[in-house]
Amino acid sequence: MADEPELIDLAFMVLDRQLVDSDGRRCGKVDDLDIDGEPGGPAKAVALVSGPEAWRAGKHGPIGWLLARVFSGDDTARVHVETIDSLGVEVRLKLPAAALGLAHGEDRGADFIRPIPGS
Amino acid sequence: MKKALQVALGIMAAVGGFIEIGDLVFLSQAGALFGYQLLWAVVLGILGIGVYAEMCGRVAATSGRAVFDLVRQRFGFATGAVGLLAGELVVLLTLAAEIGGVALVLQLLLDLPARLLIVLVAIAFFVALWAMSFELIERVFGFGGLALLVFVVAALNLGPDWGSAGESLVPSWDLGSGAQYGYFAVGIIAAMFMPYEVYFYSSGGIEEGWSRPDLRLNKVTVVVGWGLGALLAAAIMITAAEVFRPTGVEPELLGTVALGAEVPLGGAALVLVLIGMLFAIGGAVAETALAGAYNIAQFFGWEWGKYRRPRGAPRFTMAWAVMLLLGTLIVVTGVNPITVTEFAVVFSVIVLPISYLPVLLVANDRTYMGDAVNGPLANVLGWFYLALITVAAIAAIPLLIATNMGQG
Repeated sequence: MADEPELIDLAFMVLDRQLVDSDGRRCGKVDDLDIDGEPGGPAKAVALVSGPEAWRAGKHGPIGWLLARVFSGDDTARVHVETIDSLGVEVRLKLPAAALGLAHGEDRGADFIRPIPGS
Repeated sequence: MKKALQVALGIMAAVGGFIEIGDLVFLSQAGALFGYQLLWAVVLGILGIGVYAEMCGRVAATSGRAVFDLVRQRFGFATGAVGLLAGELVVLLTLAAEIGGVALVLQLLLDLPARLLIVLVAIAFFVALWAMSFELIERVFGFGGLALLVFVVAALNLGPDWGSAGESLVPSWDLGSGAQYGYFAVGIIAAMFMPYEVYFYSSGGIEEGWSRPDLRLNKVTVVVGWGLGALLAAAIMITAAEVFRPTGVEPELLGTVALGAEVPLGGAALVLVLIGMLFAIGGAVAETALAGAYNIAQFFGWEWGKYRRPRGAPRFTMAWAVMLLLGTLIVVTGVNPITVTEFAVVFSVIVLPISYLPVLLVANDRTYMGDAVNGPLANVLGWFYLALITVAAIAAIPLLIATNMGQG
């Protein structure tokens, strides 16, 4: 029971927060948490989940399903909690986004617009 | 010097965004129909957008969070996503109306086919948004839009009845006109309170790197920028009241609105008004396209900002380009931009509470804001305006239907 309030606080503190990588770039949102533990036992967050898989997980209804379909080309990343540098109004990470499997959509977008002069 | 230039952010938001096609349409028609009677709605609307923008700027400077970042955090993914879709639909309608508005003004100046001008406008804005920095966009459109100040000169020149204008600052109800009066009251408040202006303002504060030392700049920007907006809005209504009401003309075209300044001041004033409209409505094209992209990027956590090169924030860049394309496709079908404007204004007030409430909650949250949390005055005004826009949101559609879009 002693762990329960801590879990609720953690969810409030990190869910839907901006992820910022070690280069200071925005690289997604915390869409879900991977929780490890047995029913009735202590629970522990092991990873932050970011990407469309988390939207269609069932708790976001038809709108989550629809947006997950629209952005189905994006990857979903699981960021281990040990790579979190700090928690505040945003979640700062210790590594660049690419090393964590985050923001692949940005790379694909950059490839698409790079041929345009002045990009 | 740098601080003075930063005030241009507010000037652009006031002139380039505040006075846009929706304001020109609603203020002129209301002046022609009801004289000064609805000046109170102008004041109520401008004070409201000032309260909202000041909170947004304060939250942005304190926590680095813009509007749809807060919508996502406070409402969660599913409810926030519904708010995002509704907000984007209204921003898109507004963008379509503004693109059409720029084309209408150019048609008055160049006498070329409307569809050709719409396509040329879209291409020109793609190039401008691609190549220009945030600061340059702000300065070019903001200062160009100042030409609309000729309406202030026109209003003064027409010798308004100051006593009647003063009395009209107190809210009243025209029993004879009933629903039509209500439609224009809600329309004016909604036109003053267009949410994209605040999406743009709050994101702009982050673009310019605002932090706690900029809180005073935020207040000055809101007072100067929105004060200028109030002056212009009142002048447009007074001009319409003096010029069109006695002759029974209803200014349903932008060209007719511009004639309001020509009557007292001559042909040069007409040219100045058209140039001012071009920059002011053009500024709104830039703001709405960028606001649409800011919202999506903030909701999904993408990199965003004009301070990045296009390839540095590629999905944000593609988002404003897609907004521009969709807005162009809507208006190039031949739909009347003025009709699109009226729908955009009415629907904007319906979605407004969704983006207003999270800002109000965060501005009240000491864990976010520290000592910059809402004071008693900001709180009273903040909750009063939440109630007001909720009532306006509920009344908007029935009034739209009952009056056949203000036709009476």
